[in-house]
Amino acid sequence: MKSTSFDRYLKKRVRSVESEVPGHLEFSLIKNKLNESPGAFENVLPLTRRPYRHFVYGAAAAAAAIAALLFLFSLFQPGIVEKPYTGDEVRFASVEGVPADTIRIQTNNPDMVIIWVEKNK
Amino acid sequence: MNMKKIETDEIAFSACVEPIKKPLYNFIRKTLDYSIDTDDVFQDTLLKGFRYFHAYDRDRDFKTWMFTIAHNLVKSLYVLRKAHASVSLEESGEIPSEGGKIDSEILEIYAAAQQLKPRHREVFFLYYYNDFTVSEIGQITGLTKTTIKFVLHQARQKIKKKLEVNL
Repeated sequence: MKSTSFDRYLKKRVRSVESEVPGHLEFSLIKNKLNESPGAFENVLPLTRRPYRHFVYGAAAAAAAIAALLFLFSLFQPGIVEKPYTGDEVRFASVEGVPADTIRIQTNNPDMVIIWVEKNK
Repeated sequence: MNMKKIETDEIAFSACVEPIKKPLYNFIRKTLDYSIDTDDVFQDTLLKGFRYFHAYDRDRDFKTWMFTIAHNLVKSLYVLRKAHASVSLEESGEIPSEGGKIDSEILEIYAAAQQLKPRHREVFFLYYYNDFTVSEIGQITGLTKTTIKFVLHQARQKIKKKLEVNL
């Protein structure tokens, strides 16, 4: 950037105001204080740069995690299956009051929903 | 990290910090409007610099690196604490006076700088007080060269106007 005379004037004026670093802010003293009580300065300023950014990043990460879980769930979720059960599992099944020894289940969750029961013999 | 390494780092860091501590302290002080938070931010800048000194890229200018840390802390402070207990330059007792007369031009310049947005004020002092180039200010603040030039132009115009009005 080209330095104009006004630039030079401003620099001179701005630089004419400066103060010495206070004695208690010498690095060796700060370091000693830190050694005496580790963690004493941890809360002087939080490590976060911009809290709202973390919020946005957190929300985006949560949304991505949920999307990934839904995607995985859709991969592993079985479609509607049809599976015959026999033996002990159908010991108490009955169709129209007549005991059945085989039922056929068509469901996403074989443990919970029985949508059709068929008498086999 | 063993004790010997920490001691060596401490000596090296102290030696690197020594020549820049005054401009760094004054930069923070000016950017924060002579706020009471200046000491905290300066102290935290040194501690953070020391903590990450081992990771400091030796190819990079140390001064620019430390000012980047200070810039980030100042930025955090602006976001976290909107209200600052600050004092005017006159109250701070730092104005050079000639024969007991306070330099009013300097007061006007600093008053105009105080009216700038925090980000703009930072750029203003990095350029006019710390004598960083536009490219170095870009490295410190993450702003583009065009934005920095625009900010400096605006600040200059504002101060020029204020000085013309009051002279």
